[in-house]
Amino acid sequence: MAESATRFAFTEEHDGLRDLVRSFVTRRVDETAVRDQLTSDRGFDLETWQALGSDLGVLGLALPEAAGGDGAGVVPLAIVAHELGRMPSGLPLLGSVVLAGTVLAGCGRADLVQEVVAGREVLSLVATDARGRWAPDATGITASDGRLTGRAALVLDAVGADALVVVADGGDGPALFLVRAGAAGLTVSAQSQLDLTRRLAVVELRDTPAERLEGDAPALVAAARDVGAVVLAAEAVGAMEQLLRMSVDYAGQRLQFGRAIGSFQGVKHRCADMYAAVEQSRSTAYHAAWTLDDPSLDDPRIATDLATVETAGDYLAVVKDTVQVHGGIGFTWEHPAHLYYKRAVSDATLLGGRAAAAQRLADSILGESA
Amino acid sequence: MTTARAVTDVNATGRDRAVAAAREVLAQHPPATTPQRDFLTACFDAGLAWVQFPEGLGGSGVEQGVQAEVDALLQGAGGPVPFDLNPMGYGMAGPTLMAHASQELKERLLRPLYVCDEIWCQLFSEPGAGSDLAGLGTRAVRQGDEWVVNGQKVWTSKAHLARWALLLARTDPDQPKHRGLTYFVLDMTDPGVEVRPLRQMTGEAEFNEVYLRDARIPDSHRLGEVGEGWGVAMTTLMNERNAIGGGSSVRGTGSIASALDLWCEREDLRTPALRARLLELFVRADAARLTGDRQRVEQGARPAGPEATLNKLVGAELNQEVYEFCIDMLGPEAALYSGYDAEPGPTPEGQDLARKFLRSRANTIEGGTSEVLRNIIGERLLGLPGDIRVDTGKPWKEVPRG
Repeated sequence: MAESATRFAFTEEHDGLRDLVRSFVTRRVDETAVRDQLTSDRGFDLETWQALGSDLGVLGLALPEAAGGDGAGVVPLAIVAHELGRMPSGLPLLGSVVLAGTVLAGCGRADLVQEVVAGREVLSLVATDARGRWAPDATGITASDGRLTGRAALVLDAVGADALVVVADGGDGPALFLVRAGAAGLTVSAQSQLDLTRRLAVVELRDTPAERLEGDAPALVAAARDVGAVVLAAEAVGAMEQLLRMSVDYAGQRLQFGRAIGSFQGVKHRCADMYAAVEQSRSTAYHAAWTLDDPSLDDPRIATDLATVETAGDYLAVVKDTVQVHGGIGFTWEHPAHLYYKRAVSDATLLGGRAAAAQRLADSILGESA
Repeated sequence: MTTARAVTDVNATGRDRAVAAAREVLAQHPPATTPQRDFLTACFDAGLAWVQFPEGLGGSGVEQGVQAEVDALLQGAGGPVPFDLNPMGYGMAGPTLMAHASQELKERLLRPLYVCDEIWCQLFSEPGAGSDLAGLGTRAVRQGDEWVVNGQKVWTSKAHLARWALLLARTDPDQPKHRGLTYFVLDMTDPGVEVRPLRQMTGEAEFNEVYLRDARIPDSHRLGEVGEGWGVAMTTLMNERNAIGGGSSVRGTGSIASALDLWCEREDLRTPALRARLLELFVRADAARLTGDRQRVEQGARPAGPEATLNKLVGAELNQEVYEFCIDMLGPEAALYSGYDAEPGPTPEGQDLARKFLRSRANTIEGGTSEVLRNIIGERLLGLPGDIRVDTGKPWKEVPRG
């Protein structure tokens, strides 16, 4: 288990991990690399992904050792997500490692987890319904005699996946099944998306043969979702840091009226507000990560929902400010701002999204609504 | 017992020792039955007043981040909150004295400050120097071993109660504004000091005007070198913003508690729109609380820096919106006010929200306006270029004022 350390006190191991991933991201996941993948089928470069898994070995940090992970905890995973978030990419950290990986680890499938964290296989968790709503209690997919039938939309990282972990109802509530790529009756089709970086797909199953997994589906999917929410929050922090840096650099260089636009209070104060947003987000994201590792710190439900609501809102605010500070150039296709903007809009809807998190938080803090 | 403790101490970290000392103080001096002054004296002697200070001066020489943990223990058990009792003293004078005073002054002033025998105030702002503090005009002229001070200060809280003041005065009007200032500790009982209450929007007089007419200060009460008062004042101001913005590390405390209490108590006033708005405020309050916690850990032993401006900025705007929410939720009841007497009596239940609502207008002005704080964040933290200034390099006396 992760050792219980002072919350927010990063260790030398944490700093080393941050440096390692940052240096990798700078070299391998820059804007050029991401743009190269915008129109590819998978949406990411498999070699880059395998390097993260096998060369750097940073994908299994939050998964238990007994199940093929490193058992280092959610805080190190958040650090990896934070650094990867600096440049939104299609690398399947959320779908394959966090969602499918956490569920598979809970089912005792160390064999599959090892493949996932090495980057050798990409898996995807199917827990949305036919309209793409996060619906682990009722995906609408049914299981009968080891065969699955149904349809799920907006499935993350399913395009090109080697296998799917599917939540389906076998007559006695939600259960977990493994479906291999190429199975009879399975089709996975990429959807035309607002966000250009992550791939979302429609998964159709028609009497598709599946392997039943041993595990408590609702509990495992809920646990995976919480870790996923922290990963989204940490990615948002990395993205916002990058956007703030981009905006401050531009405001310091762009000259109008004979002076840098950053010397005008209208622009400077907008940048100050961006800074404030990043700092609030950073606090909630890492508080949630620390709380998942040590639930004595806070109610994990409140901590993760707080992180989702705060970071999703801040990410949108900061990316809109980025477009505004950049003026016309920020509205062009060539400028990366739109990649972040679309990602922020899309991220705010994943895993139930900001709206569901706000609803749960309101219920626990303010009482159930009448 | 003694042996066991000695063994523990060898291996214990500074944090462990401070936490153990706090437990010991609570065991020996239970807050419920101990007079406040005795409790504070025990904390001072145990090095828990400002944990980062040296031993003998109210500290234990451990990193500042430990203070939050110690405070949570002491105050959680019902101990007094020194910042509330002597805010300018505990929050600002203490750290300023530690950084810039002579050993003799530290020994004379820190203990009575902490145990609240001596209340402190801050003589910085003037009618002609608000955001542009460095433009202040109160003059201090040297006469032998003394300084003679003339001028007017404003927005001085606790001046009518204070024994000591932190004073920033101009000692050289021929220098550009930042370079002609010197920092002093002024005895408020000097016959040259007159304190007048200043009535505010809420009806009360929380602040004062202070008139200085030939007030005298021994040169031994100067902090820092002559002409270097601005640097000393920065220590005070950073700690002021730290103190205002530092906040509690307990969820649901601070201004948001007013809104949560109102929501809890007045089911009849709840609407879905108010619910959504309150949730948003709660999230902001909790994010700000966590940011305070995080900064305390990250800051460790380092002195307060410009990061503290962030919490002040966020906290001030949040306070205003929280009380605006309360007023909106109260609906027609918000039309009532408990009275504009300069010294108000007990406030009828519910109506103290109107007072807090009015008071919060000052939050984005006092201790650095939100505009100035955004400039500080933009320029000092983010490195954006400064605004074009018309007073740079000019002798103070040639800069227009009004």
